[in-house]
Amino acid sequence: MGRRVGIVGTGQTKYRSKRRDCSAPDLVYEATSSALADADLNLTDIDAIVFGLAPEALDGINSMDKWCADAAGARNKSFIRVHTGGATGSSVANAAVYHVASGMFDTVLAVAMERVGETPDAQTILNRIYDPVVASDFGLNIINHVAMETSRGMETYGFTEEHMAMISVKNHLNAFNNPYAHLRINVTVEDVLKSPVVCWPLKLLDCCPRSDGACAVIFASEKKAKKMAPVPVWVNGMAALTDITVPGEVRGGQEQIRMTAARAYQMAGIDNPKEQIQVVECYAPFSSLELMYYETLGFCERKDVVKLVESGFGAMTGKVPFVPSGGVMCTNPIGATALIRIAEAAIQVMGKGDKRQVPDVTNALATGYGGSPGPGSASFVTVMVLGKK
Amino acid sequence: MMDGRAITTMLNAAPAGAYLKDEIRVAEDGAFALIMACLRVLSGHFTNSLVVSWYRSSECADNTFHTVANLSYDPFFYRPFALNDVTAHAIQAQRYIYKYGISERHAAQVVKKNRSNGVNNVLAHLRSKVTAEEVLKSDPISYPLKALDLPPLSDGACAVVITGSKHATAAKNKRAWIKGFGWSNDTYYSGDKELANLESLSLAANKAYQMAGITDPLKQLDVAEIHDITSYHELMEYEALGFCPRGEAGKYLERGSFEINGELPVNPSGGCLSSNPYTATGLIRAAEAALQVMNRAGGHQIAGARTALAHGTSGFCAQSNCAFILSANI
Repeated sequence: MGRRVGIVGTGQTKYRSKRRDCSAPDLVYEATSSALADADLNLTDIDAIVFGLAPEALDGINSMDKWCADAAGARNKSFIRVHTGGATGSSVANAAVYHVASGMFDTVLAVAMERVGETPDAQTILNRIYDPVVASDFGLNIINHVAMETSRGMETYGFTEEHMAMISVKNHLNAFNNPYAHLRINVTVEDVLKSPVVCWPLKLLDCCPRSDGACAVIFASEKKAKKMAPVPVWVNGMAALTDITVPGEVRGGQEQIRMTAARAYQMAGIDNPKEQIQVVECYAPFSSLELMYYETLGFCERKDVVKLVESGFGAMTGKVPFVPSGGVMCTNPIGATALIRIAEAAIQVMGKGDKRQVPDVTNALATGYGGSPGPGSASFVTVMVLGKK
Repeated sequence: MMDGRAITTMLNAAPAGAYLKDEIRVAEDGAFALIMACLRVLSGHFTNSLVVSWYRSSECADNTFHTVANLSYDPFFYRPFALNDVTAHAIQAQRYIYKYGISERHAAQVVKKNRSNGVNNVLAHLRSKVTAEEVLKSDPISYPLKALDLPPLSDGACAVVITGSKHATAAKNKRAWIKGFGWSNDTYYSGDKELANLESLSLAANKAYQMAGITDPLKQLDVAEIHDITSYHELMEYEALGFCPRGEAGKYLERGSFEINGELPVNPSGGCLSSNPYTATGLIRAAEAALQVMNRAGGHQIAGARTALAHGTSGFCAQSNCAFILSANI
């Protein structure tokens, strides 16, 4: 299995609805230079760059990677752009791992960016990921598709709108500990339940914001990583899986997540996630999706999901904290979001989490999710296991 | 963005056979997807990989392609100048003419060569010969580019299968060894680089040459399939790829070096000037180079081709470039 690969530094921008203070390349530069500073490296130490950007229609600039290449330090370097929808960030990380594991490069920068704030209506654009003949015309988009997935989940998992609200309250509380987080607001269960219905059962406070921002992570070969970082973070398991939904079919992505996690766990030697993993940064832009991860990532049986939520299993004080950063529900620059999960998981292993640090982390889990298991579309799931050893 | 879909792979993952497989999409020319597949196999994570690239130019109505192309430029500095895939490349061609004294007739000769090669390629989009005179007399589009200096806009797709298995059992005429590959990226800002030199192509090619042990490409290569986004770019590419010294592409062309029966036949398939499914065009170059060393190129086979070069480009003014060396011998 190729060479071992480690993470030696991460960098993030401040996330906002609209970063009016800067342009797209400025965001890339902000994340890139902050990752270089974190790893105490210069641009000359970087051998290749992998760039991530999701639907460019969101930003209104076609192939914007070309404009941003200079800001990522990619002049006269190997540079390639990856785009797998919401999973773009984690696909970028996977691609960076391949760069290093292949033996062709020692140090590779993964950087991903999105300016969702440039579009007046992201959901109109995301409607264009479904089958153009039989599905798009019905006005299907990510929110109403997840609403259907959620109402089905309420049936199969037995959770209620209150349980979803509890997840939302926990994540918004966590975001206060993350200096980069976009939404930093006090939210109670009552606030969530009373917030406007976006598409039942999803209320406004069950949903993620639209953010501008960028994230960068530096990967290095085993030899280099040991020299570069006091605590290198090892990529011990990774898996990605694409599922396809035929026109007419509407379903959830739960089975796909289970399968992807199983592959990554096998690679990392994880057979009891609840005991072996100390923190999870899952890709859950809606409260109901995080809830279902408890089961699909192997932390409990389906019937126990409700019990786990009620007992505060995923809270900062719980057994395995889920999204100490506040997660996607508080920050969502689409193309960068899945890379932020990996950066935050790496920060936890490095022990650099400050107020959001979970004690004694030896293994952290990060997931990514792109596309939609909706008619005539495809969905991408990625799972990465990071460890101290 | 060109096909009106937010995430193109969503519709095409199924026909590409990605069901429950690890799929990744590279948002560049298809030749860069082949690079990603090579890295994935070399990383040890995968053994066999399928690379698919497609494009439907017809999804963009007549003139909207260039409008969308204009949207590839930043809204502040370049977009207001109406730069697009044609005008930006025209500026580059002008610079090339100015710097090296290349003539419009040289470019016309490239079109004549590629279009007559395309006649022998059963898959080519345009299969009709043109004379240099016809090229020179074709409608001016953006000086010095005339209608026939530009590639057509095509619909089409290409797929390549690679394996990292030590036990590759494919018959001799069904395999081509990837001996070297490289890719590089130049600055986005046209004013900050020498437009006539295609620096990132030189860097990409040198990496591929180094890996494959190529020191004299003109002599060691038997055939090349290069991404001729315009006739002038093919000339610039000869130089950046080291087929001839800087500024001498015209001289070598006059000598017939790159003709189908020349020292180093370039684009025997007819190249991009004969078929241009935009983002799939670079991967087609790699597929054509593979067919040549497998001795399976049919009507446009170069007799005895053992070593071939393939080139793909992405971004305007050839900002990103990649190169592959394929060989019949391991």
